[in-house]
Amino acid sequence: MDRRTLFNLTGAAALASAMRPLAAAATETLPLDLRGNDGQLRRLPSLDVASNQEFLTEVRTWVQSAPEGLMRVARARAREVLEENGFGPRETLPVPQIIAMMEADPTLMASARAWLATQQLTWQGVKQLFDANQEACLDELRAAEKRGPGSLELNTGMHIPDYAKHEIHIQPGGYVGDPLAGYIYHYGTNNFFMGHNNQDEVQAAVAAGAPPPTQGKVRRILEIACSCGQTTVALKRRYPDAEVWGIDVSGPMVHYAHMRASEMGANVNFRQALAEATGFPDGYFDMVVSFLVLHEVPNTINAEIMKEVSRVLRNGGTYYPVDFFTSAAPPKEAYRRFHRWWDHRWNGEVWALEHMDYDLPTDLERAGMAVTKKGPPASLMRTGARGRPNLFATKRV
Amino acid sequence: MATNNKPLGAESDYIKGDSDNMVMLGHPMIDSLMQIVIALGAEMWSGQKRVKIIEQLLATEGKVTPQMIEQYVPSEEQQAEWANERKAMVERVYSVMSRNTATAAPFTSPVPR
Repeated sequence: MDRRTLFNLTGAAALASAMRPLAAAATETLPLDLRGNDGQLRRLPSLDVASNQEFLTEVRTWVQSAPEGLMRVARARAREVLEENGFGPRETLPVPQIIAMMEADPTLMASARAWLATQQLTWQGVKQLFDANQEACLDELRAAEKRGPGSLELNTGMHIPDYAKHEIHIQPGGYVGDPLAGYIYHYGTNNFFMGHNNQDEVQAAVAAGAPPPTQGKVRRILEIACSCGQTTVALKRRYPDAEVWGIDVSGPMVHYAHMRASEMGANVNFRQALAEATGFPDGYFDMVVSFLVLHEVPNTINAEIMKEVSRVLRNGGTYYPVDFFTSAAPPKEAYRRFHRWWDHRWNGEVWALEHMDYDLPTDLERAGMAVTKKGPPASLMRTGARGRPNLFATKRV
Repeated sequence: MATNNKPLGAESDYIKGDSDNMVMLGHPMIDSLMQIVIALGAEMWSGQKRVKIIEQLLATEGKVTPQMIEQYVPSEEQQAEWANERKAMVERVYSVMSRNTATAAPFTSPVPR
């Protein structure tokens, strides 16, 4: 059957109404459950916005990791630029010197700009969609506040330090400034994982890799800076009898995390709190986990966080941090340091550049924990079994 | 500091970034063009996918409504097929950006003989 025959089967009016202007999709008010679920992910309530996001993910994947993609080409070009300037590809150079050599090269800059364009368009698409449905989103968030299983503790009057107020990853409003930040973050970051995390596969791998204490039961687990609660829920699934908590500085994030967890039937508890001031008693937890948090805070605050982690862990309890440099050393290669720089400057990664110099093992030791440098594998992008050994720490007895 | 005059939920004030003002390609309009071409690709794919769904519905159901289109769930085979088409489209449209700019000839360079 050809297209002409197909179209003759139905009325032109039906087709005309089906082929609405694409631009309308992002600003249309739609029932949030209109399109149902894909596994445990509620499908975005607009086909056109979902299709847009798919395409942006595809472009990002091509830019970032395709064999002939822009970043592979840019990396090769960076070696040429270094050679033209009399340097080898592995030479350790200061970031300002690297920038001076590379910022005028069209291939290097186009690869960065294309990647950033996908980032900007991703946020723009999901924000416009959820903003158009703001009342429905707020209604379902409020309706879930007292609903179990699990609990929600919003501390809306708490002091939020400036370091946490930035538009990290250029998410509009950042983690704390938009009441729908949880929705925006959840669907926006699906793009980050390039199609490999629509069912929280990465967070499930992090939870699976978290090493339990060698002695005693796992009765209580804390995830610090839990954002929209994906790892928190995964930890509960691994330890169904444990009391599991997720904390985050962002009220909108834990608001969304609680709603989503309760919809999934996960009995986990969320609290709006700082990672460096969790409010839990000394020695309360058997395990603490963090995922992609350390590079989002200043190094001085990380030192405070390590003290707090040690304080809330019982003797022999474990801390499993998964972040950029917990399973791999910070980059020495000039191209990758250049990448880290523009990610810091133009992708809202305010603290990620100084994080390259963060000495996590020393802070863990100072806080009273013993460090195991090669622990269970972890990967930021794929399942843990495919990752490198990740460090973890054990509270000294 | 950006503030929300009347909080709707659990949000607070935040620090607005300046990434909308980035100039990485020598001129802000060229930066805008990069964003435009990627946005247009996404819009085009959205239209293509909608047409695929309409065609499928007409072939299997003999009719189509906006709700049927929005709620359509592709089979695993369709998902794989459409993903391959999307990947091919991205490579077809954008791979020109991967050309080697180190050998790019200036506008006024002589014609090779």
